[in-house]
Amino acid sequence: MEKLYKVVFSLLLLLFTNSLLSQSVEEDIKKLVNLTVDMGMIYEVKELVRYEENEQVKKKFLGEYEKAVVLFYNAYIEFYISKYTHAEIKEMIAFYETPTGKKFANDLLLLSSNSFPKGKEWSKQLIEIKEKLKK
Amino acid sequence: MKISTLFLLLFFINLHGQSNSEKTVSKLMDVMNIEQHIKVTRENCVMWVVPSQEVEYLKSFDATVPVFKNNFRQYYLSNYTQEEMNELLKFYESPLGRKITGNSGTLLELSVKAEEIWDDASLEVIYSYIYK
Repeated sequence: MEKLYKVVFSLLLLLFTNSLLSQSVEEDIKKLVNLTVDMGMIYEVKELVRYEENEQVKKKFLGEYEKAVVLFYNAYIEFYISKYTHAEIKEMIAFYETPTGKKFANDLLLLSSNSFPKGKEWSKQLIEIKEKLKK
Repeated sequence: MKISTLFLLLFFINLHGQSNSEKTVSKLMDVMNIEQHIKVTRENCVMWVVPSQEVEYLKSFDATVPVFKNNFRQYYLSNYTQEEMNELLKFYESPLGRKITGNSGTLLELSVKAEEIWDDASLEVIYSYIYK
């Protein structure tokens, strides 16, 4: 009987530790996403209820909003967990938090949304081509 | 004679410095997977073009690429110091950095997918709020 208790206890401890570890990896991935992905569009939606006076409506909206945010993060969590170890994720965070890493990450953000200083000109050029073809 | 030698020496030092920076920027462009970025943008843009105009559109698109690359190069040359670029290269040439570069194409495609996921999910949230 005592043996059984020990096995159950060890299993529970293992499950608990695993759950803590995976939570911590997920939190770090979210941190990495916040450093390297343009989150502007995510925050903009939240602004919708900034002046909402009905607390119940606001609460309901924020609840649904959080679920949508989770879906967004999950796409990245799945990617990073399948490609990198937790130590590598931590190393990336450390790099993107240095002044040069931060500067570079910001340029990467602008590049991916095509709002890079010179990318803006490029986007404009591409729109002009489309307009020209319409005529 | 001495002055002209000095000028010549300064000219070569400057030339060497420039070519070093340009080499670093070229490496950075590889690290940032600019080619993949252009490829994804090309594929996304052509989706919105009428099939009969696709060839003409792609021809015009491809003509803008060298200008974009040059502008990009100039941006890094004027906004990053050699020290900063070296720091970036040091990270991206490490085993982890190489892994990041190797996965950057997949990550770029994922970012487009994640944006679509967000657009769909957030639209539902907005609609249910507006028509509450």
